[in-house]
Amino acid sequence: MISRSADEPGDVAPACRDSVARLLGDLRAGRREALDELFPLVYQELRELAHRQRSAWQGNDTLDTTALVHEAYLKLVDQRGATWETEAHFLAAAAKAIRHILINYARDRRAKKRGGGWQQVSLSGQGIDGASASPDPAWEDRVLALEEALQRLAGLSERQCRIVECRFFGGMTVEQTALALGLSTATVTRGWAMARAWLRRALGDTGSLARQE
Amino acid sequence: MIGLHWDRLEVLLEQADEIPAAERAAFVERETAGDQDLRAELSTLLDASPGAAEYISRLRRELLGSGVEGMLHEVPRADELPDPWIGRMVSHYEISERIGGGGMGVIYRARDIRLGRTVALKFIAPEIRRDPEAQRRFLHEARAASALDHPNICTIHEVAETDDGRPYIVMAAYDGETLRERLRRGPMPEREALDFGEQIAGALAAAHQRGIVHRDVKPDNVFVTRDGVVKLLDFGLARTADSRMSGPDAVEGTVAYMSPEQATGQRADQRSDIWALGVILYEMLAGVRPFAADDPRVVIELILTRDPDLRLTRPDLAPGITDLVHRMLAKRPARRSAHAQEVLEALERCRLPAAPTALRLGGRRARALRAGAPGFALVILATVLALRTRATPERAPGRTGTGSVSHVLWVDDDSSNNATVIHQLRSRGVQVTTSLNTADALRQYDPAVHQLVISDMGRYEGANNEYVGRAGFELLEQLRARHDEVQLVFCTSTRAVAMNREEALASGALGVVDDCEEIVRLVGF
Repeated sequence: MISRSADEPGDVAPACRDSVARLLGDLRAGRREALDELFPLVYQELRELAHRQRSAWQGNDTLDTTALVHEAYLKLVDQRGATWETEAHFLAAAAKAIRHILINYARDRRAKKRGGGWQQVSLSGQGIDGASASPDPAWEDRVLALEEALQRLAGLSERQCRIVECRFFGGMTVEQTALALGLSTATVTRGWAMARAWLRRALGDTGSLARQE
Repeated sequence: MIGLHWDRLEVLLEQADEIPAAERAAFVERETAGDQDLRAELSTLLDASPGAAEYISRLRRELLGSGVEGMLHEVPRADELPDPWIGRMVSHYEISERIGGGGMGVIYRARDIRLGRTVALKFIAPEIRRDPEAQRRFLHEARAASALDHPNICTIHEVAETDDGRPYIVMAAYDGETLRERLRRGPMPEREALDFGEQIAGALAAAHQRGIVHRDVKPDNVFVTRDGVVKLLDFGLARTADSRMSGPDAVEGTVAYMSPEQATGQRADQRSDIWALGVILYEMLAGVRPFAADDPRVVIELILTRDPDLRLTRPDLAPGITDLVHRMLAKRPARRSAHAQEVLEALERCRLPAAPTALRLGGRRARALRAGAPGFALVILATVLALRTRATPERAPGRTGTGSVSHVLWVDDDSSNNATVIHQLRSRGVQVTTSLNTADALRQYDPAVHQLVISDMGRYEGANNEYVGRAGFELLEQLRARHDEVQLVFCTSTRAVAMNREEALASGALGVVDDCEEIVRLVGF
């Protein structure tokens, strides 16, 4: 369980928290569709969090999506009634949101580069194509290749794709993933192992494919 | 090979992982005997497996590890995400853009490819969808409302479901804005407020007469077209969704117009709609809501306890208006105006008395006049006409009309609006020359022949057939520049009358009417 931080949850609109609580309740009751409705709320919160706290994060390379998601969780979910399950469901929605954010950003960057007008400068004055934003010039291509592979995987095994979403984008543990998806931890472990191998093969990571045992 | 073998692949991969590398080839051979596809799949996955964990975590670090701040800064807002419905076909409707959304559902503009017309598609909110009973009621009531045929009720073409069972409503698409948007733009002239109130009351009267209660009358559900025609939206939604809606705007909107009986969970009936219209009238006239607070619970408290006094913010209003609004906001339904028709008639009575040379003759008023008392304004116009035409030195020969006007130049781009009236005038011996646009009217007008010009306000003009909202004014101005004595009456929509009346009279028009038939009485008096 994520512990409550020293900071207060902040000024999230009560209606938004109510909606989140209701949708989490629906998820607990087995209405999977609620995840799709929860996702935009979490997405928006993640975005606003980043916006509000950007100065505090400047130059901090250790900030990652996991920290961001946990922050959003504390803000959007009333901790008093929260259970492990609630948290897992929330994280699954956040994982979906992170995936979307990543893809949108990557598509946007690729479009701008192709458009030839790649002069974007972030508000902090740093080029967003700078080292802190992306160590690899082809970052967006890699994100989009991953997304393409994931969509293919979803066609083969929706379950494995969901597992990847939780583990990869949401930084969720095996236990959290199992809770969120209603699977056993053994199934998650097995699915995750195969999905990793499958993705590696799909993404053509041939560099170390030769058996080296 | 995929579907069936996928689970098996998972298991085999896991087992192979626990077998010493030297024995794996034999294991694969044995387990996939006779299935070449499965064998190829398993072998390549086994090849990729060692180091896959490391590869994936490295990938994760590189793609997600840093730069999140910049990334989130650049991505679109949740409501700007590409909408999966855009470009899709739903039945024979091609969805082109999102034109509205919020608590009750999302609205898209779409093209009906069968009939070649533009429509609005409304998908209902998930809150309603999750409750099968609510969904059933919603469909039932939406279908009932679709039977309502009234100029102030949004036309519903069809209520249907997508292949995967999502209900949607196909409605007429209008150009304009909601009353909520109109209110945000600033204070509303009294005349416009009363006009909108009348139109809403008319819509409610028609619905109530058929036993249909709206239950969620609020500015977001009142659409005002560019011509000032009110269209009441969303019949049948309220009962099914009560106040549980997503998003702060939605909550705020619903509570503020809720009647005391609805706020206390009692049954809503037509008097609840009248309450809501009372709140809207108050808001349009005062510029603020009668029951306003940040916290919806406080709003409900105010609804139950506070007696708003419109006179405090608008001491200039006629007592008839403030009394009417207060009566609509009576806490006990029994003390409220019981019928929308009553409200409609009261609003008609509340209209400002006409200024000496002004005319404001609505259709309903006109009917009342025909039925009984002679109209004050009507008499004035007739008198003015008589006086002015008497002053005209030359009369056209052969006039047989009983009034002072024997020949009219009528300028309107759509003569179907007034074909009947023109016929009636002609049958009374008044000559009518018609003209479709300003340029033509200027050519045709002859002060020695036409005693009166009747013109619409906005019309399509020129080679490009562009809509010119002030075409009537332009005509008057140009006529006036050439013939100082020209006498012109604007005959235009109720909304245009309300908006343009002062300016029209200031610019020297003889009058402004919103009922073509009234012209018969004016001219053929």
